[in-house]
Amino acid sequence: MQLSELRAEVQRRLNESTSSPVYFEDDDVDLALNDGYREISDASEWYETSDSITLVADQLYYDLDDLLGDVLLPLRIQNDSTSRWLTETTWKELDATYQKWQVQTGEPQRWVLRGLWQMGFWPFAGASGDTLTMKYAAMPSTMSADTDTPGFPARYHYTLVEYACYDLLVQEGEVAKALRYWNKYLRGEATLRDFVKGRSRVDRSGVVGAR
Amino acid sequence: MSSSRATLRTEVLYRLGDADSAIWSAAEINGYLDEGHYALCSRTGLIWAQETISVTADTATYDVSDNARVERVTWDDRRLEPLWAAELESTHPAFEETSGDPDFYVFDGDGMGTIRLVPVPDTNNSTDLVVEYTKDVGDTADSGETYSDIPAHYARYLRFFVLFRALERDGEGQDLQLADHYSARYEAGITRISARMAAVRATRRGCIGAIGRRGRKPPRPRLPWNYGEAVK
Repeated sequence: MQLSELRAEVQRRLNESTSSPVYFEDDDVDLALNDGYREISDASEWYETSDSITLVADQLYYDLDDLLGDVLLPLRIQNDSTSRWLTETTWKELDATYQKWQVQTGEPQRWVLRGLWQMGFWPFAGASGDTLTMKYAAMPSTMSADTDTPGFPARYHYTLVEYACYDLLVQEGEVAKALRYWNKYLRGEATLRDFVKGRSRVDRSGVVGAR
Repeated sequence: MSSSRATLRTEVLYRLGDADSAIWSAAEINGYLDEGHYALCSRTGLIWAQETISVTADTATYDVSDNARVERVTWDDRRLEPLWAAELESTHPAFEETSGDPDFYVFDGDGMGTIRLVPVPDTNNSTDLVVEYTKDVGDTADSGETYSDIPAHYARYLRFFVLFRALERDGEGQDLQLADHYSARYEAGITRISARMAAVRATRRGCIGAIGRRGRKPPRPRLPWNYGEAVK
């Protein structure tokens, strides 16, 4: 569904005129729809994308938020020079193995996350220019044009309608009605989250001894 | 990466239906925003930073940032082992006087935000002591109008916290049912952040012979079949 269709559906459910809205104008509805879009994206982490990180000589930590924007969760990282996947580690593991791991240079083999967006690569690059490709879950761009559509499958689009109805009714003080829409939204969010996390399980067959 | 307090304030008042601040003043909303900012940072540990501290010869104690939750301390890129003062009292009674290159640090008994290096450094040094920590409260700028460390998509959770507080307080505009709802949304955000940090650790792949303990207890010993039987 396009943004214009989502907006019309919200206004229809709230018994609002779509041609000459009085209480819930187009901008208000769009704001609520986009808020729902961000909420469901944050909860389900459906938006997976990739980007390049250019290594800088002698730099150990990189601020993912500054480099890539709204990163939610790193998924996997590949060293473009060696074509090898980096393994995740912790600073405790590195301390247990290497007394001065923070000064070792070389081709990055492992990554360590400090906080939620400071990422370190070990060994760190001794020269600038090489790149890593990182796949990660992120926040999508908001919808602005009438023809914009949410990036997840169409069967979940009505969940945004339910969120917008909830958000707008709360502002009108219609708390009971709003919470009804909120509960419907939560069911839709859970369904999308389960789909995102389990979408490869349908085809996988069990193997004795497998996890 | 930063979030505007003015934007958050506008969003909150818009959802409260009080754009003119007739019921909830800007100062009140700012107070709740700051409270939520402290809670978000301290409960999740999502902001990590490091600080290089200049060291003076024969000085053992150094102040770290007030809102720092120390994770790791290094000297010349080598991790210093944290010890309790009680441990050193029994094993190295002169630990406060012995000088040399630090191998340990103590973070109790010298003040809330003060670490003690052991041995005491015997030369001036401006680069070797680095403290890594998570912040209990992020930095602000523009007289508190900008939360410098919080990305916008996490600053949304502050909005839920403020709505919860604003609707909870006694007086005009109170709505406890809605306050509970926003409290639950805020807590869901905290849980989401914590789950995200835990998920990164869970993706670690182990292999036989790899270093590092997985944090599990060793298996219980298998005792002989007749263990505990009386010897006849």
